[in-house]
Amino acid sequence: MNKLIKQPRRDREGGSALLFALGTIAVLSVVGGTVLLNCTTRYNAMSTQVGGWKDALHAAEAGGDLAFNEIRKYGLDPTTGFSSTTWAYPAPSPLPSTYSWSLGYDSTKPSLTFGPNNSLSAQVIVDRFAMLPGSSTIGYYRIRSIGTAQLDGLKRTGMDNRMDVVTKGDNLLRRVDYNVDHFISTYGFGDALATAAATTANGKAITAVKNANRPQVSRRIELIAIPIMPIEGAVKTTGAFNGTTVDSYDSQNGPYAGSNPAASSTSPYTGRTYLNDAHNGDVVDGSSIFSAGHIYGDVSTNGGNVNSTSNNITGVVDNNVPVTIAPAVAGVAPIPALPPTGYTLTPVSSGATISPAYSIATDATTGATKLTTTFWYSAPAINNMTVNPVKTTSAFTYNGVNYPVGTPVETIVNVYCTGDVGPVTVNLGAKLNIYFSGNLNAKGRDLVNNNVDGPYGASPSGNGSFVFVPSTYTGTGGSTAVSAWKTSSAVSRADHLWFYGLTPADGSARSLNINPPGDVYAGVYAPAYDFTINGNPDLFGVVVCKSYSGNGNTGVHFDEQLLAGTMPNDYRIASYIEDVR
Amino acid sequence: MKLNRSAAQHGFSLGEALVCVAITSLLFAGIFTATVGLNRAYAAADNYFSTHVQQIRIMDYLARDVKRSYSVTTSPDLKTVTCVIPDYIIDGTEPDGASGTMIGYRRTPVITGSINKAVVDYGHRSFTDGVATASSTTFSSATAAFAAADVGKTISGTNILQGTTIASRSSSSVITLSQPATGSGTGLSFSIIGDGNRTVIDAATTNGSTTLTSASAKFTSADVGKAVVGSTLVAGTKISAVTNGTTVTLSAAATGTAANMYTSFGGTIVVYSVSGSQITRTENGALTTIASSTDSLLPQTTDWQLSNTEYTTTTVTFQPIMTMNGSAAQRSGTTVYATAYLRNKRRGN
Repeated sequence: MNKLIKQPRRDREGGSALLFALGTIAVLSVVGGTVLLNCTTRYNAMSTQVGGWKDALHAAEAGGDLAFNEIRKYGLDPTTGFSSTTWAYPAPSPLPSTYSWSLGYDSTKPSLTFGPNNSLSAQVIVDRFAMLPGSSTIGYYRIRSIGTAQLDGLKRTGMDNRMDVVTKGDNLLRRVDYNVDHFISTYGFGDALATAAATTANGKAITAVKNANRPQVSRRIELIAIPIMPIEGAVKTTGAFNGTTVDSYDSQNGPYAGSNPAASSTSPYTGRTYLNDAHNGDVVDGSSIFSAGHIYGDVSTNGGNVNSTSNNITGVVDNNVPVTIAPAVAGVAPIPALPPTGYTLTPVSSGATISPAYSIATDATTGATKLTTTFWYSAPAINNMTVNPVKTTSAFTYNGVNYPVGTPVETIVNVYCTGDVGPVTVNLGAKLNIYFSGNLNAKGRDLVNNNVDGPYGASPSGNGSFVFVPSTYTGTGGSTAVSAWKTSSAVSRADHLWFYGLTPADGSARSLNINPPGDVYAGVYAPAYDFTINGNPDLFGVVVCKSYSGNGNTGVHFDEQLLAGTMPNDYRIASYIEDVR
Repeated sequence: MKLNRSAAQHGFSLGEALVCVAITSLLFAGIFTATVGLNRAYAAADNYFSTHVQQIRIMDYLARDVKRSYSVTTSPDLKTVTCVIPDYIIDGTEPDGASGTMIGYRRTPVITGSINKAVVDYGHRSFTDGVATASSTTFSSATAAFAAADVGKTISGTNILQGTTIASRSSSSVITLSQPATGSGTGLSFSIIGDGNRTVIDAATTNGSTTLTSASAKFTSADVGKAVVGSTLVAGTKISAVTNGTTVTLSAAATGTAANMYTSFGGTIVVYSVSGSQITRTENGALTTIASSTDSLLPQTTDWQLSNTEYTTTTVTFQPIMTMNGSAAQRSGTTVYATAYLRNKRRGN
């Protein structure tokens, strides 16, 4: 009996304890689960919004990178870049209808989406908003890119839009759009006031988010791409610089007038107050070795110990600037292919007199007729070579003035020289580019450049300094042809004689020596050459070389017009702005 | 049998009840304790996440502003960060926004400096109604709204010589150029270059002195009132007077002696500073609250300047304040770390 009585009691006690324990565990689990659920939900919402906000910038920068890549191609060779397969031309209004491109706006072109489930997208607009001074082809580009990230989860405002009773935290920074793109509805294309009425012109409109079920974040950036020019100052080296005086002038204003020309009433300096500051003779020294007499400009070295006082430097000194110069090889700016497509090399002797003939040719692409003014030659060496321009073969009238037979026409003569370079003469109207792989050793007086600085002479009837620069040619001769020409308004004497020293493939040493007496008006681009100027010659132009040594009473007078005289080496991003509205 | 059974049942029920009450009390005490503990844990976790979000927000604000800056400087104690940001949007405080018609527009920049030293300048304004007379320094425009602050600025355009500045202002529509115009014309395009916002690398200061010199800054009277930011300068320092083209007087004395110092003049000045346990962000003096004032969030930012790049490293450390033995005790909490690069670094290719 005792067993019968005790048995059920033990069973009831055991059952109650188990149920109670289970109930307790359940209560605790609910409480704990609620805690975790709350935290997790809020944390997920926060992390989604923070992640999306950052992803939107990544998308915008991806669009900017794509555009920059196209600018690098187009800016160096306008026949490439901005493929019509993906880029629309021109960009939509209100941008100009020329030199503007868009990606992601034209519904007939592929959209730019990426990321998981294509939740990221970018829209890009590029326009050439300004030109390099002195150039009609090299431009500055603006990139405007919008990156959008669609957010996962519900349309919730997130956990931390609160900091105090009046301050909104995350929304002020991240600006999540739940139903409508706030930027377009408030600022339109970007230039509308928040209070302005919506119009087609300002672009303001109620625009739904890309996916009605998902909130989104958009970020907008603006980048400015500018060209990197091969020439960055009066003298640029990758090695040592040991020179004397370096200063500058601008040939569009006339010939060199000295380092500190004062306003003068004496011809030819009358009223030329803009020459008072000739202090753009910058020296870019790629090594720590530097010595100079007087530098009228800025100086940079790579690890040097230069200061403006003890080195007579008028500008800014920076001793922490590395320098790289691309090898001078065919096909890499500023060296063209040798010869470029469409040309052949005409062999000449080292002492030849080159006088290109007046010749009308038909352009194979356009079918238009034009005067040939660019010529290519090859020579084993150059020694006492003379170069003349094309000259007119009949008298004609232009702007009411009669011009005689033999008026020079601006002519470009290119010589590919596989050997050494010596004396050469370039006559008025001719521009000589020498691409050579040997050494150069000559007296200054033997490197003759008979061109002029400033506008060509305006007295066409007699003094021989008037040169025509043909732009287009539509006729066969006489006044019809000449009427389409133009006269040059600004000429650089130095720009009419260039020495391009090619970088040897085997890395062997090369030298470029200018000896006394006589001055030289020329540009030197020879990144692999040791440049030496001895005695008392002055060089008017620019020098890019491996090392520079100027002995005695020598100097370099930098013609600022040469900065834009070549194609850029590359482009770089010079400015980054985010529109945080 | 019944008595025995009845007595046994009664006694057992009382003991059982007592035990049950005791166990139940313990269980409820446990549940209560656990609930209170979990509630505290919930509050702590909530506070942790909330604070963590604020750490991230501070980082994101800093990274965004550093990235779009012209220049960034940090104080020696690493607790004040000053960013100089281009004036991208025209507002009513600037000369080109004075008429009201251009407020809200994005500026189209101009490229200033020579080709090899090009700088993108968002501080200019352009017009198309210039009137010039050959060989005369008088220049006029009906829409330019020339201001006194324009004197000294560079002006460029058709028939205007390179390097010309505004020598003086006769009225809101007439100015005098520093050099005669090269030709006559109406409807000429011209730009007034820059609001003078710029960064130089050769500024010099002396500890305790209000004098700042720079050979390259080319100071003009238009610079008076501009904010100045440099590593030896107190936040909020402005130019109070221009002595000459290379020397200015500052509103506050420099805190150190320096040469060849990166220094910015003008622009939108954003300052992050720590006061006690609170971080504040001001934009041209206007306060933006970016984090709760009650959390102990301690940011430190270091500015790294290399030859061709510049970046900042920032940590934001959360130090929760708890009560221990009746008094407040500060404990080390979490630290968030981030790096932000200046995209507008001027030097290098």
